[in-house]
Amino acid sequence: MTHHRRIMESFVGQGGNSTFQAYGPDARCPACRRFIGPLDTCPYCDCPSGKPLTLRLLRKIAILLAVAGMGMIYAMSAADGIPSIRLSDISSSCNSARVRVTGVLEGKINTREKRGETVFVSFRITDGAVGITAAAYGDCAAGISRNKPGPGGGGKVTVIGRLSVKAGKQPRLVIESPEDLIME
Amino acid sequence: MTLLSAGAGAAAGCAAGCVPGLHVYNVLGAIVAAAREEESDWLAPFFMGMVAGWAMATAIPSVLLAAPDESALLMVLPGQKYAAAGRGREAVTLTAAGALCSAFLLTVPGGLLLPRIMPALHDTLRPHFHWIIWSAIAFLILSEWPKLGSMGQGGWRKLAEGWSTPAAGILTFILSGILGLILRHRPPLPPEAAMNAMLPAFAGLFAAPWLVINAASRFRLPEQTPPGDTDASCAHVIRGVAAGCLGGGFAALVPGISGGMGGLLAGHATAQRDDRIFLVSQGASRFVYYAGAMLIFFLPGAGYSRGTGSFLLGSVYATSGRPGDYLMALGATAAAAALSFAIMPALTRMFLWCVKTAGYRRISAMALAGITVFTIAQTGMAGFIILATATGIGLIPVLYHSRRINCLGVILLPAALGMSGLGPAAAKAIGIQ
Repeated sequence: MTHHRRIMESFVGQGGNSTFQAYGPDARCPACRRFIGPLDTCPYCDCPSGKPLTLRLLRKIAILLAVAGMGMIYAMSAADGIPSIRLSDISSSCNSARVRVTGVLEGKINTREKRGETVFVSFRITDGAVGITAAAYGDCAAGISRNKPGPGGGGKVTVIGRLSVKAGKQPRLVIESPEDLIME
Repeated sequence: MTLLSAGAGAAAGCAAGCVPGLHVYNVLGAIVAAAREEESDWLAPFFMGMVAGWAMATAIPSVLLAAPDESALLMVLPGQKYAAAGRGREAVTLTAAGALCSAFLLTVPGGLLLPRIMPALHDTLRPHFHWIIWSAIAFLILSEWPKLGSMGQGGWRKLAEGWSTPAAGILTFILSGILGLILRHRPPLPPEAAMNAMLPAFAGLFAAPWLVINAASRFRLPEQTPPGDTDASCAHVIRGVAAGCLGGGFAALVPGISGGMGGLLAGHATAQRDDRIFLVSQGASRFVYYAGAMLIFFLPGAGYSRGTGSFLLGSVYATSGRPGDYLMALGATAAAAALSFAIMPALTRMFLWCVKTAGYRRISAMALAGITVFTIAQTGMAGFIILATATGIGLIPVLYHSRRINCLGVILLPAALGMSGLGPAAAKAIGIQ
């Protein structure tokens, strides 16, 4: 006896060769007795299949929940904006958070070039006693280098970036788009 | 200390694996939130043990608590078939055997080879990750097939019924992808909850729908016979482990690809047809993906990591980059896998006793309530809204006869867009940048 046959026979009882028989009368139209599977209405005679109300309701609730919920999440995200954070409040639980940091530029802007294109930009921001390094890579670094001639130290800076907080390393703010850096 | 921590982690991971709907990353996130960097000596092996134990034990609820009622008429997974036939314990044993074999391959030959081949493999593939992920997305959508439309008289109604299942899959992917984009670029959560931002989404997309269907189902789990003799041969196990290691390894290597996606790709690549091979490969794929991703974190000189587990551990534990850390991770994984496999029969019996005593539906309802409370505790009411929304999205493929794997849009789409350099543009396009 093949494996499949053994499983199916133990599944449906002796003599059965169809998975669907194991599910009982709900898989068949109550009027014409044809197999209709999971459909709510018989496609042959249009008779309601008598499927459990719970499942039929759940189908509608699922769509409603998904669409309405997405709308609510979108509205909440759009309304809240990017949260601002003080550098002293950064902890390991903030890892990968997208935040806005406002501070003062400390020192100069460091860049690294490869084949004439800026591939890395970094600078330090402080908002009092605490500082953080902000960095940009690749195309973002090139865009920053093109658009933002570096000011001297002491200029006010607002940066939107993603926090990278790893054990044994200083937290870093990764800039993802040149528009996320505002220097005054 | 390492072995004790790994053993404790394995026990905790097995316990977490037996809780329906609870993902190991949820628990690890809570541990990391409470841990301090000074505790990292026991934390790293505990993490490895927990991941290995969970990857082994999660087969129990996924086989024994998956209700194949009328809503699943068109797509009954092998584990469900076995459980409905009273052979659920055999299915759990096959899955656990796949996990154990893959644990051996990962820690012994894999342990020797990984430091040699991973750096070159990673450096070669890194510029190509973006199109690899786009290709996986294309495969995911294109491999959806019409499951209805073969009944009835014909015409537009039959055509609509035929297209309903692929359409549900595409809708699920799009909605979950947009959700993933929002959570990536502007989550409605405070910065302190950022580390666990994806927790409510994953719980809602994958765990909650399963539990909701169970709680609403009329399925009754028949008496499960002891494993006894199985008709799975060595050839089935070898094929299953090979396919599982391929899928899990691919998922661990490529960012954004999960174990489920890797298993799907490997199943097609190796032309899997047999239920026994499927069960073995599921166990192997899951173990290699989760444990393999954690091992990459400890690779000497790697400088990169994979998976949420590494991301969580990295915020409180700084690996030295020396071979000692890597050997510790290998030893912890091997010990945890062996211990977890040894206690699987007892865990399975205990789980079945709980299901028999408390009832199938009550356990599912309690697990659902537990996930909800856990999510609110970690991420607040905003997290609850995300959980509810994701549950709605996750119910679509289940109730409209598509595949749940389409919910992976929540990580695949943002990953593909981000690696292609289109992430900020996409976020701006939908107004959340």
